[in-house]
Amino acid sequence: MKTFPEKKFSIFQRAEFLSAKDMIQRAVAISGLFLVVHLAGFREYTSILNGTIGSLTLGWDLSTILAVFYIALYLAFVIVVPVLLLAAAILMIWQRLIKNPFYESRRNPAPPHQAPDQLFHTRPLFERGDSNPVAD
Amino acid sequence: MSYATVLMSARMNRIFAGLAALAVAALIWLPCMHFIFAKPASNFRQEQGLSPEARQLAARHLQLWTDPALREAELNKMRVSNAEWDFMGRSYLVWSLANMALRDPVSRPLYLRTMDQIIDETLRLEKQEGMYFFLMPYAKAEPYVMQPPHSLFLDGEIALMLASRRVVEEKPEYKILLTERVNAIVARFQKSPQMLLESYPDECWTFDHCVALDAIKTADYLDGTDHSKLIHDWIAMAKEKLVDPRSGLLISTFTTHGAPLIGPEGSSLWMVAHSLQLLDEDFARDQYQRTRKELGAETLGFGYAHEWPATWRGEADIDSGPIIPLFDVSAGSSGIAFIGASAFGDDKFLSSLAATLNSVGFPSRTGGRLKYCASNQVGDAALLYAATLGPLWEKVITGTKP
Repeated sequence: MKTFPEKKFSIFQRAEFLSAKDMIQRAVAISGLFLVVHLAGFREYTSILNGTIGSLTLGWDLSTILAVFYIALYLAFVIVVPVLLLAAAILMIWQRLIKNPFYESRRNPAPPHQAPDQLFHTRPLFERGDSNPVAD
Repeated sequence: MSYATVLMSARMNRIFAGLAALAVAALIWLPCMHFIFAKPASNFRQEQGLSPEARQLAARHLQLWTDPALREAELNKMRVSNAEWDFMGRSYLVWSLANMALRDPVSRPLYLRTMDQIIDETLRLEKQEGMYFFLMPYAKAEPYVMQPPHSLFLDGEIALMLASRRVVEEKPEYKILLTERVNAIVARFQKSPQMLLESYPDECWTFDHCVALDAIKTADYLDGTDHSKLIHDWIAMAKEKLVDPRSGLLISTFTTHGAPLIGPEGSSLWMVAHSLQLLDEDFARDQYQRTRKELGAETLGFGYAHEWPATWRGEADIDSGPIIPLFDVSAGSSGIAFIGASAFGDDKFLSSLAATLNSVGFPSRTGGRLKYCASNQVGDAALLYAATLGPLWEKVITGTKP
């Protein structure tokens, strides 16, 4: 049996609650649901907003349910989805920043006897005895 | 520190970071959201010619009047809720087409043909089915105070349809019909001690009086008659008896004795202010400014309108449409607000209303035709009127002959 690399489909795996990946997954799910109801033509039933029946065949009750479903998903699509995506972007940027050695060192300052350049390079690129990767 | 505590602390940190990110994202997105839907007011209404929105809305209405099956389906959906909407959809469309014919002379023959078709069919239905065909069922619940029964709602709007058509181009058959209709309205005004005529049994509407007086004024322009004293006297009476003292707004509904039934309501007032432009420009502007202040609202760049001012609370009804809580948005008032904003050149409000319409009006464009799914035929016809109004009133006010 052919297996796929795990990382390739990681976006479909359950993410930690309120993590960036979780927010993206929720945004995708809402967008997908909205696309389905939009393509199914539920938009036509939104005339209930002015008190007009959506469909004489389906009647008031079903027309109203379909309209409410569409309106809720539409509002989620135009309000919640962009907020989720923006929040995911903010989280990812924030996480990159805190992993950056500069910010890391600002949060955990080096002992005072270290030279300033050692804040950025706590270990020299090459030390005596190391093999030179460029030369190798 | 135990492993579980560390895990819990990490989890709480992540949730807190997620919530903070959501809050920041919402603070960025919500104030910007209206930019996605906002378009300049000129996209909705232009001083000269027709705006893109008006052309697309008109294309949809013209399709309805060339496809009987489609028209029947649309009108039947409205008639389930309110037979008046079937009638008002016709009125707004004829008034729109008159303005469009004056704005776009190339398409005038098509517009005139459609206007005649609508007018003829409306008159046929009125004659065949009686006036109750276009009224809500409670019109039959009580006898009209003034006999024989007449509804100023029907007479005024039909008269203005006939007059609007004649302003664009004379049609002798309609001259006779307009004169008969106007003379009948004037005779009833003279018979009524308070100058208040019924639309429903012992129920009079400011909206219907203003439209009827617009028709009389337009007939004066067309036929050289003079009813300026009648119009002047009615406006003086309205200022004295029909204005709510707390808001300064005209009340909407009253008995034949002038006792208020329904206070100032947005679904009437925006159109009333526009109608008054033909009768008393200063009073019209004053009413618009008060309505704008009391009923117009804007949140995060989205414009909308309330049905009731803070000083007069009322219930949601067939005219207001469902009222959305929290923001107190009335679909009926917000739709008719386009007419007020357009008539008084309030481009900022018009643009914000259009942003709302483009977002939650659920526009549907197919083959160059536009309809708003959250609206209906009468709502779209009122929007078309808002997008085209101007030339008809201007001709009557300036006295420019056809």
